[in-house]
Amino acid sequence: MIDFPEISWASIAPQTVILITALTVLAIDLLPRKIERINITLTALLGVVIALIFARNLTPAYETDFSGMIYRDGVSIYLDQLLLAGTALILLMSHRYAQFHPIAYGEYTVLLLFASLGMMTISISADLITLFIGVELLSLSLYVMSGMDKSSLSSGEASVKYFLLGAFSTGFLVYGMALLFGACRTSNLVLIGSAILDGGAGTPLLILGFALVLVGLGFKISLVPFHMWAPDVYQGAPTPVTAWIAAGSKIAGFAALLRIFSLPGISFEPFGGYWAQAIWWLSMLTMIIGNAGALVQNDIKRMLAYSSIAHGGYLSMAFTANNTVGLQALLFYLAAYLFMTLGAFAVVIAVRRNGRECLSIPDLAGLARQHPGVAGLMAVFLFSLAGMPFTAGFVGKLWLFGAAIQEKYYLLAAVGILTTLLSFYYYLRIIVFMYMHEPQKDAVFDAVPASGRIAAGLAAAGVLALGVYPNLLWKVLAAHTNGL
Amino acid sequence: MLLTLITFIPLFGALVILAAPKSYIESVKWTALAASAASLALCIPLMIVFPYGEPGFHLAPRLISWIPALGIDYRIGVDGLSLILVVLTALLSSLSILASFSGIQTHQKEFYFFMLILETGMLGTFVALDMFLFFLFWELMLVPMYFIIGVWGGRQRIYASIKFFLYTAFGSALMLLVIFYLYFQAADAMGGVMSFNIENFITLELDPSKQYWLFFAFILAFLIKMPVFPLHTWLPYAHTEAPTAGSVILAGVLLKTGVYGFLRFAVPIFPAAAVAFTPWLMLLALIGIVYGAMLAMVQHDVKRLVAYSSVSHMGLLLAGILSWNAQGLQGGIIQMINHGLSTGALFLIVGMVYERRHTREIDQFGGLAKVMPVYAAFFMIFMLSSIGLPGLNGFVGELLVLIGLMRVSLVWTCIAATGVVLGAAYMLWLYQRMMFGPIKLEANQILRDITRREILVLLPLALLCFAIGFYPAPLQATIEPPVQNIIQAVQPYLPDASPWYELPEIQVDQSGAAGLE
Repeated sequence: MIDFPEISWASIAPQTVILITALTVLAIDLLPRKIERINITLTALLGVVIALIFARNLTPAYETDFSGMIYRDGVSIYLDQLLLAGTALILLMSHRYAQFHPIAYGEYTVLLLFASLGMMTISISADLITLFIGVELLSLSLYVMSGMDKSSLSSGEASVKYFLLGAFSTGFLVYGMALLFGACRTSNLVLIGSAILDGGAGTPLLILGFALVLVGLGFKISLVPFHMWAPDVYQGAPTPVTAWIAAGSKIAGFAALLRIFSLPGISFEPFGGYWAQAIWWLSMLTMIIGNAGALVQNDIKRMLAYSSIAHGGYLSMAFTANNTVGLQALLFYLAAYLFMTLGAFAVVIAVRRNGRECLSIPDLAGLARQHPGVAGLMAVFLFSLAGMPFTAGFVGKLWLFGAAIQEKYYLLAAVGILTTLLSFYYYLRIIVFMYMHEPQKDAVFDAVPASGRIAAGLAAAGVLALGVYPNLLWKVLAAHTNGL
Repeated sequence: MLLTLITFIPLFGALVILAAPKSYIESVKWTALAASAASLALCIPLMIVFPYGEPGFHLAPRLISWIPALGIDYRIGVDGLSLILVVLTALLSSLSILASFSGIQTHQKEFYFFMLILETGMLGTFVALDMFLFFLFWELMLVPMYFIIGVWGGRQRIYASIKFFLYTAFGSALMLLVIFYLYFQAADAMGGVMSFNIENFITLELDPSKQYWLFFAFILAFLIKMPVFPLHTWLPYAHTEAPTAGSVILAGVLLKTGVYGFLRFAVPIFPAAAVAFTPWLMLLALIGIVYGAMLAMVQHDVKRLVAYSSVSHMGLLLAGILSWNAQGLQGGIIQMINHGLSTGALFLIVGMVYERRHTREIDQFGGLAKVMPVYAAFFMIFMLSSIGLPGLNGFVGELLVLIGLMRVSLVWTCIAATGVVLGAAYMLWLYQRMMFGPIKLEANQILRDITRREILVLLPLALLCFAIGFYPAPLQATIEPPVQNIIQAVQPYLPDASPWYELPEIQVDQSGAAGLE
């Protein structure tokens, strides 16, 4: 007779629903009869919405479950909701994108759901093993998705590049995890935490282990100097995939960092001390190089790649500040970042000219003349990315910088503010083209489809709501991060 | 409630315009004017119920906690200084919207949308009493103005708009950093109560050695906005390239927000540093006066000339404030209003002739007084008001500024007076070249005089110029409490006998009156 450990299925309900949805989509895609794209999209959306409802109704439990493999706390509930909302937006964008690009839509949707499942596995993991499974599930799905546009050579290139460099970084991650296991004789994060508290801290094995994990995850969130892959992959991959790499994969990477370096219940304390300094440097470099790189880009996706790198720098400030304000700021900014980045990509996908994608910035010249609504939404996203008041990006940045200033990291905050200024230039450049330049000769923008309008509109609503009344999210955050 | 309405009615109008269908251009114009005029109309009850002569802030609505997590409150109120600026803003906004009816022919819907957002930003800046709220409104002014210059501007509009944006954003970023520093300091001092209430910042009484750096970083945003001499280079581009309404608002109100921020926040929070920096700031102000005036003298473009005259006038205004006595401060603040009226009006005047001739080159005109007599009369009034002819508003302000300066230093007064003389020179010369002499060009023969709508735009400004010129006492009484406030703040730090305090106090009133009898 085998004893089954007591497990609570409810705590992984959102993950389960996504898994079932993915398998369902896989099954209906295998049916001999051709399935309309719209049916696949709707099935997947339905699954995501159900998962979102489950996630909303979860109550945080501050203890591990599944024999210590998962940890369903407030932060994970919050992150799951973010990731699900993001998945829904990506589905809306992909639906339109697949209309023009030869993408096997059924398989694509399945992989997308698996990628999201991987991200949501990271958010609940309490064990290095769970975490690693999540990272791999997410990465493998995205490697394949990057290469799915068979008509485009650069898509294939992006896929190979992403895979090779990603596999390399996974090596670091898994080696680091092995060293941590060796140092603490356990792969459970809670036990690792108590082992360190018991005086295991400071051993070379442990430090090396953490350093390698940081490198591996630094790659996922493209911190400088582990960012080299980002611009090429962002540029080459199909645009909705780029969007999900930019938003989802980054949120998941930060979720992993949160899990390892600041698992709630253990709090930032045992690890904070070592990593504050290391991440101070990474964050500094990332902000400077990310923003400087974005200045000279002419391709929107490449520009957004550098912008996403730069935002990684702002976000990692929270780990340096290492306080409750920082954690809340990080979680808030992840939501802001999700909405503004996905919104910007939604517009890039929705706007086509003479049947082609508008990928270089001058292509958008005169967009405001023909599509004032879409151009207005894009302006909202860009102002939010730049951090103008009354947008989510502003409140998030403010909060992050505030956390840094509270801990007396003045230089870090000052560099944050100055690089933000630098970023105004390249975000404004797009606005200048959209609003202040005449359209190029015989350029006609195609009609913008409803799915694009809905995706961008929802994202804009998020950006503005969080910017004008941040209390909306603050209450949730306060509830989910109390007891830390 | 009244203040809230005044501040947010334009924003509401903007949202209505945003929702309007594209074909309703005419209604959009009138909606914009109505929203702006409603705000202006509500200023009348505001001026009636305002308790004149009482210190402190008044008419504050119920405090609303907006972002409790960070201690950000919706805290507004007015004193004499903000009151006059609110009225000026509401007036100039309405007039510039009315003036744009003919000038703006493309993207009208967006234009009025941005104008109204801008108005809310400006009004909010003047009424905010929460440091953070102030910063938000301050930034809210930036984006609409950027679009107004960039979309509806002249040939170099893109360069001008980006330059304007980056200069301003740079200043604001440093300001934000200082605000945050003060916020945490104040939280410590208040026993952990997180709040951006400016009263908490003022009572902070920072260590003077710390004040210097903070003050410098803090006022940079205001110095850029004013603008003060080496930071003024965005101004000629922005003013020249902006459409008429943009130039009017820029010169009339946005420049004043810099002075306002300086007086309202920088001086009370960092009084010691403000006094310590006075000689340096004074030097920059004086350079600005002379340099701006000399550059104005050699311009070929009317609008550029007026723009450089702004640099000169703002220098004079700042010099008056920096004398830190009642006359200088009063003169400086009255000049804020005067400059708003006269320079705003001059930009409107230039815009009207530009709409007819599509050029702003001075050489292209000459003899316009013959074909446009009404126009010439208005031009004359505003030109003379800008010069400071007795009987017009400019005289009152300039005289007070010079008296204030005289009490501090004779040398400074002489330099500042040079600017006034140069001002008369370039303005009269401009008027002579444009309005008098024979009509040389065919195109000028057929110019129509200004329409009734245009007269309606200029008339209120002209009347105000005369009103302030003949009877400035109500204005002076309104700003008396804030002026006393500022003097009290800096008084403890003013040196009794320093190189820049060489003259003894002049007893004008007693002995002078006795001598006359």
